[in-house]
Amino acid sequence: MIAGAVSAPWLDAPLRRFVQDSRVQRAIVLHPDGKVLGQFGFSSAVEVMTACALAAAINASGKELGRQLGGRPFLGLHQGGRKQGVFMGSCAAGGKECLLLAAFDRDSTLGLVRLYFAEFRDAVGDMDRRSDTDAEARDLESDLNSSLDALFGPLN
Amino acid sequence: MDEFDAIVARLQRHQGVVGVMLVGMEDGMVIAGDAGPGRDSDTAAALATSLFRRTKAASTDAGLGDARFVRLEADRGHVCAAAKGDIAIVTVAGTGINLGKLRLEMLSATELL
Repeated sequence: MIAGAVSAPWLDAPLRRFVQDSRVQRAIVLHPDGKVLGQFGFSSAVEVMTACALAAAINASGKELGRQLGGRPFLGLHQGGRKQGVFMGSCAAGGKECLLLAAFDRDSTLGLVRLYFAEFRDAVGDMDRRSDTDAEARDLESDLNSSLDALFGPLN
Repeated sequence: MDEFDAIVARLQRHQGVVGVMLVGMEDGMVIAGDAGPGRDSDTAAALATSLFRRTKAASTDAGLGDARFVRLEADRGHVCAAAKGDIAIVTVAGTGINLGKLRLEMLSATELL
């Protein structure tokens, strides 16, 4: 079992399933600005931060390259090596764009990763409206609490 | 690509075969052919090569040598795979097929790769 953590609860099950089914070694889900939402297989915060920064940069470059070459941004990226491959795909979750970056060895293939990424994309896409509403509710509540704390001080 | 298409066409002529694909063993992606009408070729290719790779590994680990031919029997048909080098031949067939003949044809087709 690969260890991991998510900051968005709705992401836990789909990401866990993606990792198990596709047999990737590492996977990370982030916003295009580099903010991490969840990861599996990384051993330190520095690794996660580095992966997020690089993934965000690659995504920005790839999108712009897609626009320059074909008028449309690229939606996926794959780099194949002799022993390891890297896949990055874009999906929508909570009304926002997310990126999934996965590294895999010879235990998996690009075909499998693409297959299970499509399932992951559908799974988080189905949560679109609900997670968006939850997020808005949480934001409203936390904003309200912050405002009340600022005006009257913490209740406890 | 013509030689790949010729291999696909040759196997598709076999009675009972509904889909033939040449698939990259390393990436599990379709090179030529398809899995047949109403089937997702990308999914079939990815899963079939994954099955074949794992069977090869299991065969080697068990000291049996390299696996040359794999057949999956399901309720409504068969998925067969044979490989040479970096390319696997995957066929999807119905239940009434002559499996012995298909196996021989697939193995001889791998020699053309």
